Amino acid sequence: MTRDAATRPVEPADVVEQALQLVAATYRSPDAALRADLDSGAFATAVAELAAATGVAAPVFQVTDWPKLQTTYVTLFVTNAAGVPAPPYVGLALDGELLGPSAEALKRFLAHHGVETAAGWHDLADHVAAVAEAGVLLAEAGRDDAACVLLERFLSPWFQRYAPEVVAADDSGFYGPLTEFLGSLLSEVSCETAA
Amino acid sequence: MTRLAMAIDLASCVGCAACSIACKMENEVPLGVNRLWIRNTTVGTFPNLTVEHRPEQCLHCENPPCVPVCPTGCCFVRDDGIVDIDVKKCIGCSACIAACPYDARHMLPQGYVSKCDFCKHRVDEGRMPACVETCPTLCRTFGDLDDPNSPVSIAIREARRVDVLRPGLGTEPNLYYLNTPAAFGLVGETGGTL
Amino acid sequence: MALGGSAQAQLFPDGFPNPFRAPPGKWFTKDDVTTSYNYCEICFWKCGIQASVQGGKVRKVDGYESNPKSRGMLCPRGQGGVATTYDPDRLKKPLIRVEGSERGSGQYREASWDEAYDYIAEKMNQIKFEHGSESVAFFGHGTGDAWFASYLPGAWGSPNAAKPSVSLCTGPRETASQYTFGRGISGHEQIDWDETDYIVLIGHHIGEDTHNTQLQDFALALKRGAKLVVVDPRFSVAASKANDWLPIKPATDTALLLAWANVLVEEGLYDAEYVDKYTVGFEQLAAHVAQYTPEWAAEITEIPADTIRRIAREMAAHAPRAVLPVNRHTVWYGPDDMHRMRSLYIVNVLLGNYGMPGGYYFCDAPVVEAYPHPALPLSPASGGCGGGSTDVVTDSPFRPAADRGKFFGTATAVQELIEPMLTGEPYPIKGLFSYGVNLFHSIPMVERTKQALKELDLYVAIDILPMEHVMWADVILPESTYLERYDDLLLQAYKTPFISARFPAHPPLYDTRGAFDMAKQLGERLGLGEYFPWENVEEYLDRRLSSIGSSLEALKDQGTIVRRGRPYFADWERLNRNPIGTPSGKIEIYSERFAEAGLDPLPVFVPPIEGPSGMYRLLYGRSPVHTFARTHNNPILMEAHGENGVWISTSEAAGLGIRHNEYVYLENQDGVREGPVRAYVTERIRNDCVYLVHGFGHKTPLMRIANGRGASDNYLQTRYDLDPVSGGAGLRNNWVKLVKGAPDPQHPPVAWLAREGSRA
Ligand code: SF4
Ligand code: SF4
Ligand code: SF4
Repeated sequence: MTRDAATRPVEPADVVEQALQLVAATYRSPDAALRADLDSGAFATAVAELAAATGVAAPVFQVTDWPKLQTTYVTLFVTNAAGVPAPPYVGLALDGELLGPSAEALKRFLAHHGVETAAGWHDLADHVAAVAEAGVLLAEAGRDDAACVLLERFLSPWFQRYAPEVVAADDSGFYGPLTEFLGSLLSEVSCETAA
Repeated sequence: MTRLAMAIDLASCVGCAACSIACKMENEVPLGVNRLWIRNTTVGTFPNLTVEHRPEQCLHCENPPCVPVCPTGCCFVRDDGIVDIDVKKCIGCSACIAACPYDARHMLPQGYVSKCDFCKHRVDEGRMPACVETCPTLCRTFGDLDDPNSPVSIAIREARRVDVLRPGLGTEPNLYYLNTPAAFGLVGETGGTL
Repeated sequence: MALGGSAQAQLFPDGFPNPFRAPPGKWFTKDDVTTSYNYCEICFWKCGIQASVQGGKVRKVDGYESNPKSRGMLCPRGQGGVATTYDPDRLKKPLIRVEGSERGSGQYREASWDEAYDYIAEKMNQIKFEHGSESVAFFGHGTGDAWFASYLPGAWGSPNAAKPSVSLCTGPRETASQYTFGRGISGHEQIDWDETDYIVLIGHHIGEDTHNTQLQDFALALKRGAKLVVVDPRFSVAASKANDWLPIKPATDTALLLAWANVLVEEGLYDAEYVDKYTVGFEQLAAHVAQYTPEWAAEITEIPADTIRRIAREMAAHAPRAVLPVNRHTVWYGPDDMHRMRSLYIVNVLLGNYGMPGGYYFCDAPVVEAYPHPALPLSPASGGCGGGSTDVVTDSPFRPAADRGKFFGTATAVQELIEPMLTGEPYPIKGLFSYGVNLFHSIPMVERTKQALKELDLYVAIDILPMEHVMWADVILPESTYLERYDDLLLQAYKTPFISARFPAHPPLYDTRGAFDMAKQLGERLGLGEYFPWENVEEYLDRRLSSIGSSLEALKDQGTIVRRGRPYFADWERLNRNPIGTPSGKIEIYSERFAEAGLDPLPVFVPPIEGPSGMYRLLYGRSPVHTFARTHNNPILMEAHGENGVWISTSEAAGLGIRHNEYVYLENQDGVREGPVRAYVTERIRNDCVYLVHGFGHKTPLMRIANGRGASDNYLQTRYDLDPVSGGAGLRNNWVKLVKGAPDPQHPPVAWLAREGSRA
């Protein structure tokens, strides 16, 4: 999240970037930055503005219990005794396996556009949050077309596959509504890039 | 001429499936299908028992029924005897799958047919097929039948007994089973000696 | 993420028209294939491998010729084990159990490594303050157990470090070997397969147990024409290769061995010259075994006396190139186990084969100096399958291990450390590390273990996968797999001792670490930094290798360094040295040390513990494609063997009205139920026992593929009988009945589960 998102209205051209930013913020491990955005209301403002800009119904969410949010994140996306309902890897949604052909294609695509995984990122490069963040970087660099490819071809399939799982399994009141909202949002946003 | 062939000494094979799994990894064979599988059978009654561990795969028939049925010509026999598939030409019609009497062929999710190709990419580099290389009982031999000093020629020459699967079909397999544990030959087969 | 230069690039890379599919072609056709040396960790045989990486993923592993363990070949597990690294169910980040949640309820939050280490160190110090450092126990299994079941507990000051590979596996054979030969059996059972002409396997499952080199040697020996006798209540794969199969009554093997000793002695078939030169106590043995006639043994074992005589004579005719190989898992029936192993060694000694071509060879680990460090305050007697079970804790300022006094041997018995967690006797154990030990699939009395875990103040699990017991821990430390990490050097005792190294094939995929790093980081937080003076693992390895004039860089290109061995007595005698480490300097057929301790100085037969009528003795063994309970979420291996079946004889099944492949429940003498599990109705087993392959029957939905497939032998082991000498837990004194009416669980195909269909 950037502070900007909270203070200026979303213009249509920014929708892609803002949506990607929200995806990145939502699916990163819940950290101090997310907490600050939630506490300050910046997160809620960004969500509301995106909803207004796209016509997608705004989600009703509330975070009162921060530790609960952290536990739910682990339960939904990391490790769960009953089975992780929504592994956060776009390649898994596309190929049914980790580091499969789609993950490899993504890697080549990002490399082609000069996006690298940061040294401190100890997870796969096709983690939903990482793909979204890469999209933000590309959009900021003026490569909306490339950001759109990430959004349409890599992120959207993950939402199609896993949004229902998140909604069904969420008990935090945060990930379920947000995932439902972002899933609809991504299917609304039209990039019109050549495939 | 080169006539590539493989022999499996059933007196040594323990049915461990290292060959099958090595094949799966080497050739990226997807889950759910196999180029190479193991059939384990028990005959007799306690305590007079025989167990046969029998790996099965494409036999690279000298006279392969799978090849002539192919409408696109993608199924062909290489000069060295490997029965091969040119996947670029394969239209996935499945005629060859039906024609193979040994169930050696399968359809891949990508829409083309696949099967054991004796690891031709390794053979072309002078290496052994993955199954032969890994087998921890060293019961698999591979090489040129026209070369009397190839490992496979030697193994066949020295074997107490040599069988092929369903010899009555006239397919003339190039996969030989040596030293069957049962005195009568391959379990479930009529037997037959080279 | 970081954005590099090429902002002006066209949308898709050149020659890459479809960005949504990787370029076609199999891995070996691509130009980015690289290889690195490693040693396999799918079982702990540790074969040398070369891993081929393409596209950031290991695509294939192969053996390599210069490594004496693989010699270019690999077993099925080694081939397919690679898939575990890419298992989406892996542990990925350090996790801390949510405060106030119950153990086993699985409520976790992510933590940084620093936070996790601090959390553990604080709790350990608290336990030390309240109960003493001995109150933290350390269980370990795998390469990293050197750190977590030996070094760290030694630095910290807890003798309660244990490995299941001792008292739940090799304990009896190691104790027997120490007291007979004054040496252990090596982790690579040192049978001189190349030279032997006659092999007698007793309950040894070569072929189903696919220890790579052993299987190679076994197959080559048979090919050379060696004769094979297999003693087993079950027609094992090895039995299917045998000239003679002796379907022995379970739990009577010692009687058979003593009768063989009787024949060899009575008929004067033993190697008198060898016995005279290398042993003590033959006279006592001769007098002792006079009572154990083949007729006596025939009654007990249900093997005809004539057969017993004939085999003994055949062995003698081939001696000294006749061998009864020691097997690995030797905790069978409890009180009898150490005696059975001593009887086995004594028959070998009568054949004159120990230290002789065609028998047992001598092997020692190659010498590479330790990285210099201050002496540890304590040397825990955790032993291991490589021997060392008589490590003695001397002059220790610490209390003795909590299992002391329960049995004679000194290697710590893992199952005896559970009780102190519950009772606080002889003193409480309040903390536990489990490094790679599957607490619910290796230690008998699973319910007791679960109760004990609830009593702890700290429970740390280090693992690769979210095994059921892992999801009970307070802190979960995810380990990198063998393909992602460095490890200590492998110093292998072998006919040609050798050194090999592990190089990561690629960086860790997730936020995981190797045991080496975890031990050092934790040690430093515990104020034990002086014991971890190395900078990092590369520097540590390089320094150690420099002591033999090599380097990490050199080993990177070489993989393995092979040394010359001294396999036979003749090799030692040339140097005027004696390989036998007993007090008498001779092979002790009669053990003075046992006599002094009030134990039987010569092996005796202890009649089997009998079970309730109408129940079958539960035997268990191995699958060629699985290791322990570790590989059952690996799709490749599970596709090859996806569920176990309970072997029952055709005639018993007919009596019970059970059909082949029908699902049944197994219910043990204490009413514990497992299953549904398929009945494998076969001629290949006796009527008085049933058999299960170990490692199946996982009960954690997180492991999608493993969950609920087959039955667990360990959950049915609700009792065990302690071997009073070695401390081994005899696990085969559990009995089950088959209960009809189990539903077909309709397991989905592994291929479907692996392709994440099951997540829906
Ligand atoms: S690897 Fe060898 S022993 Fe194992 S099943 Fe294959 S052919 Fe038989
Ligand atoms: S085994 Fe089947 S696929 Fe192989 S050559 Fe013969 S007919 Fe063709
Ligand atoms: S025996 Fe198999 S699993 Fe064990 S180390 Fe060797 S290759 Fe790996």
